[in-house]
Parts: sequence; structure tokens; C-alpha cells
Amino acid sequence: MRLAVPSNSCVVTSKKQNRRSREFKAHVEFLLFLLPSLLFLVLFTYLPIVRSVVESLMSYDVGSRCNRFVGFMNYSDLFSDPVFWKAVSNNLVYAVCTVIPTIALSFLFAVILNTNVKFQGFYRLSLFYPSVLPMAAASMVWVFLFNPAYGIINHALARLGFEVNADWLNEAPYALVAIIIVGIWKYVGYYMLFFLAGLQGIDNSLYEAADIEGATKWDKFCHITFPLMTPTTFMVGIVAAVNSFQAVDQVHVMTRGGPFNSTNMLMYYIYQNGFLYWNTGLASAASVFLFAILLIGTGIYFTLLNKKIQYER
Amino acid sequence: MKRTLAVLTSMALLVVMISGGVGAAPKKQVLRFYYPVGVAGPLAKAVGDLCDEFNSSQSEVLVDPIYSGGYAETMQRCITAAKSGNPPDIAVMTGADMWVSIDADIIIPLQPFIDKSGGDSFISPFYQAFLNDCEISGQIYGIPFQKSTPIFYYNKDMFREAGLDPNSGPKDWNELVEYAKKLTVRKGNTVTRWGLEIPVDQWIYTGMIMQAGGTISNKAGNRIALNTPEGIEALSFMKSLAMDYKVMPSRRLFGDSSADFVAGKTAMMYNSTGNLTFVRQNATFDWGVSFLPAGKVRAVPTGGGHLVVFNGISRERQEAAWKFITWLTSPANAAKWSVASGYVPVRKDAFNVAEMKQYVARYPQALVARDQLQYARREEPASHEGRQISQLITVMLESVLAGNEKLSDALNGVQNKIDTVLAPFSKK
Repeated sequence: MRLAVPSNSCVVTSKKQNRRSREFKAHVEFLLFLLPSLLFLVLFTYLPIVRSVVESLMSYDVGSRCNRFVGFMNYSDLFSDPVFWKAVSNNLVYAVCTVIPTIALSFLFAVILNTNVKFQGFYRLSLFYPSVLPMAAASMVWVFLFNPAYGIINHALARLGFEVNADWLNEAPYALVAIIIVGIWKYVGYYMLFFLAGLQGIDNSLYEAADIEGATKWDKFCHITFPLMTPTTFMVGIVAAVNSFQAVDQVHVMTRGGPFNSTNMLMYYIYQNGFLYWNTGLASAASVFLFAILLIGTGIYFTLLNKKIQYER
Repeated sequence: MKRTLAVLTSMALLVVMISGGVGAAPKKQVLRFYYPVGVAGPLAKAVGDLCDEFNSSQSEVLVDPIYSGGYAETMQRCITAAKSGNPPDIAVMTGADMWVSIDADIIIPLQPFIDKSGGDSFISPFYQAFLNDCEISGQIYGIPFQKSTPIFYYNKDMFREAGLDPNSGPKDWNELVEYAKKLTVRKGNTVTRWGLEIPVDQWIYTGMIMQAGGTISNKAGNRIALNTPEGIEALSFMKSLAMDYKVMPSRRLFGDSSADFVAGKTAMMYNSTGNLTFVRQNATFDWGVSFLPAGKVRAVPTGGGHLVVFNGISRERQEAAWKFITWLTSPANAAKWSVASGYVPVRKDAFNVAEMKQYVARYPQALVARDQLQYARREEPASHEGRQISQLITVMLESVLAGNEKLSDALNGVQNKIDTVLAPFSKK
């Protein structure tokens, strides 16, 4: 017995080693498969993030013509810049005013187009079409649509009885509204696809059962469709929210942040400071801020909402 | 397998042939030339043609013209390329960007080259106002290439309708207001045709400060004064046009104004001489240009791009770059470029070139642009961080013209911001 114990333990360790080496092999394989995309992620995402953090602590000194360490100076400059706070508040307005309508509209369109409407394919295509266009090109078209003299929007509104007479892209509250409209228009079709896919995954027997129980259309929507779509809604919500903080193309093309910064948003602010004024330190600090906010925001969103989501499987 | 081998062999052969071919010819300096196209038009082709002509005129230097977007994008490419150790050899830059480039240590002073090319006799044919833009801390860093000034455009047909003299624009600010009032057409409370459009841009505003008799930057380029009696006067004048008389919209960019002008949505406008070609090609009515209406004094700011040579390239390349620059700005080529682009010729003797004479005879507007040059002043803000300061001034202007901020608050605010931006440069 005494002799048996060590021999026994020896067997156990060799088994353990065996498992370890197998695990190790699996890890290596796993890494090898990941390597190509990981390489690009590291090169173009992780390294730049690290670099931004480093740059945000440096400032270019004109006297010595080199970068020097300045601690948190860029951050204090950033937080004392009223234009930065203007960009943050504009971005929050933009986020709220695009994400909610986008989700509502794309959900609505998906529900409608999931039924047997006539010309279903045509409607789906028309709604999805904007997401195929490059944002910059689409924005250029909107510049013409919003023109007060010959653009169709003011004319159409006047026909409908709303005399707006807004010089959309040149007047303060309107310019941001215009940017928001384009933001919604561009992505509704795209998110609609997610909802459509989600809707088609719902088991039809649930509706049949509800029909037998005598449920109304509204009941079915509230108690079957909506709850079963929460994972999709959750996913679309987070993607749309992150997206709204990266809006920059339409700002650059339509307003360049004007009039008087009323359409300036975080990404454009970073671009202005980084690539127009060459204030790399400040721009990096703003990037780190944006990164942190998005990270924290996503974290909170995941932990809070994940609990309430009803998963089908 | 056989086929792959054949393809590979022929490719290898081709490579050998190509490299052998280049190696056999006398070694050429290949220069990279980053150029922006600031104003609409097929200017990229015109630049390409000029470079081709230069390349075939001699055998030592080969200039490779690289279109690089607008001025801002060109600057982005220049700085990022230079910082990564691979600068272009020549580029076209605005005055403000030259200040930034000097602070980033990526371009070189040109005085040694000018001296070699004849010193004063080389430089004196250029318009002095343009040379002023190139002089930074007592050194010349650029050679004027595509230069413009604001000029006054007006619709002669509308002048006739309103009973105004179609042969000349308003002479001064008072007349400008008077004309604009007569030319604005309203339907009820809404304006259906503006009397005047002034692009919301610091270029025009700083020009008006000059017209009010003020100065803006100091020689060292580390102080910009806007909160001065002249700064206030110019700003209140612009504000009154938009807010009191309501003869001008509160915000139009350069492109919007020229689109409105050719569409008959405004009777008069301030715009760049660089837009002459666009207006000529698109206006369907009788139009004219004149000097900018004078304030207390007659003055007009300059603008546009200059040729610069980069730091961090070999001396031979810099010399080759200089060779190209002198060729490109010779009287004949300055005239050719002016005719192709609509920019004002950068030197006086370009007007003696036959091609330019014909052009001027056909389009006398070019003469107005030339004659206005006698009142030309250096482009502002002529200072460090010029681009950021321009943007600060423009944003302030937008805010005041829209009635978003009180004039004195806005000026105080922008002056404080500018002082903060320039603080590191005054300590030096």
C-alpha cells in the first residue's frame, strides 16, 4: 500500500501532464488560428490605443522642437475647453436623438415588412439602400436637399403646410437637426435587417398558440414579439450607440462643425485638433476620453441590461 | 506548372528590363510635388501639364505631381510624411500652414537659393504683398504660386433694375449698405433675394479690420489683436448688415455664395478672385467685378498658396526643387498658370507675356484683380498656430452674425482664447 501510493500519484501526475500538454497544444492551435486577425488588431487597434495614451501625456515644445512629458496638462486643457464640452453635449443630443428613433423605426419597419405586404422586396431594398451608400457621398446629396433656395425639403414642408424657411445647414438649432436626420436615415435600413433576421427566428407555433387563446395582434406583439426580440434590440442598441459617437463624415461634409460649433461632435473635435491644428496631445487626450467613455458605457449597459434580457434558448 | 514557370520567368525578365532601363539612362532626380487644388476646376490637369513640360525641357530632374486634396489635406500629408522621415520635396502651402511647418521644422528658408539665383533681381518682379506672406521671422520660406485676393462681384442686370450705375460697384461701406438695401427683395418678412453675401470667414473680416485702419498681427507672429477699436468697428459693420439691415444672410461659405450669385439669389458678393472662372462659366447674366468697397482706407488681404522646399532631404534634391520652382514661377509659366487657373499672376512682368495680354483683353476682370493688388496687405492671421486662430475667429464671426452672442463678449472671448493659444510663443 505504501509503495502503491507514490506509484499511483505518479500516474496521476503523468495524466495531468498529458492533459496539460493537450491543453497547451489546443492553445497554440487557437492562437495560430487567431494570429492573422490578431496581428491586424494589434497593429491597427491596440497599439494605436496605447500610443494615444502615451501621446496624451506629451506635448510638442516649439522651443526645443520635440515632444516632452507634461503629465495631465492636455487633460486639464481639454476639460477647460468650452468647445470640447459643446462637442460632448452635441454628441449626447445626437446619440439620444438618433439611437431611439433608429431602433423604433427599424423595429417598426421590420415588423411591417415581415408580414406579407405587396412589393415587400421593393420596400426592403429601398429601406436598406442608404446603408450601401458611402456616408460622405450621401451627405453631399443631403446638402442639396437642405438648401433653402432650391432644396426639396423646404419646398416639400411648405406644400404640407409647414412654412419652416430654415436655412438648415447655416442656422444653429436646424443644423444639428439636419445632421440627426441624416444619421437616422442612413442606419434605419441596416438595423432593420437585424430585426428582420430576429423576427424570422421566432417560432411560428407561439403565434398559433396565441391565436387559439384568442390573443389580439397587439397582445401578440407585446407578449411574444417584443420580449423575444430583446436580445436583438439590445445588440442593435449598443451598436447604434457606439456608432453615434463615431459620427464624423456627415459633420465634415455638411457643416464642418458650424455654425459656431453647434454641430461639432467628439470625432470631429478630435480631427480638428489633431489634423488641422496639429495639437496631437490634446487630440489624443480627447481620444482617450472617448475610448474610456465608450468602454465604461458599454460595460454598464452590458451588466445592467443583460440581466433583464429574455433569451430564447 | 510549366505555365507558372513561364509566367514567372517572363516577369523576372520584365523586372530586369525595367531596372536595367532606368539604370542605363543618366540618373535623374525624381522629386515629389504635393499640390492642392483650392478652387473648383480642372486645375489638376493644368498642374500635370506644367510638370510634363518641365520634365521634357531638361534631363536632370523629374517632377512627380501628386494631387493631395485641399490645402488642409495637403498639409496633413506633408506633416505626416515628414514626421515619418519620408518628406515630399516640394509642396504648395498657405501662409498659415507655413508658420506651422516652420514650427514643426519641416521646411527650409529659401534665401540662400534666392541669392544664388540673382538675389534682388530674382525676387523684385514678384508683387510685394505676396512676398510679405512668405516672410516669416525675417526669412523667406516660400515663393508665391497660386495667389488670390477677395474681390467684389455684382450682378449688372440687377443694378440696372434697381437704378444703380452698372459700371461700378459701391465705393465704400456706406454705399455698400445703401446698394444692398436697394437690391434686397422681400416677400412679406422673408427675403427672396439677398442684396449682398459675404462669406463667413476670418479672411474677409480681417480684411475689413485693415479697411477700418487697424493692424492685426505683430512681426514676431506671437500676438493677434482683434479686440481693438478697428476690430470692433469692422465686426459691428458686418453685424449690422446681417442683423440690423437684414440685407445679408448670417452664414454663407465661399462655395455657397458663388452658387447663390450665379443662381441670382444674391445681387452682390465678396468672393475670391479664384472664383472668377466659376462665375464666368456659370453666370447667365451681365456681371462685373470691382475693388472691395473701402472703409476708412482701401485695403485687401491676400491669400492662396506658396511653393515650399522640405527639410530632411538631400542638398541635391533641394537644389533640384529650387530649379523647378524658378521654372514654374518664370514670367511665361506664371502667365500660363494664371490663364489656366484664374489666379492672379504672382509677378508684374507676367502681364507682358503675349498669352496673358490676350487673356486680359478677353476677360478684363483679371485687370481689376491686378489693379487691386496695389492695396493688398499681408494675409492674416500671420502668426503661429494660424489655422487654429483662423478657426477661432471664424466661429466667433458666425456666432455674432447669427445674434448668438453679444459683440463685446464674443470679441473678449476670442481674444482670450487666441492669447492662450499664442502664450507658448511669447514666452520663448
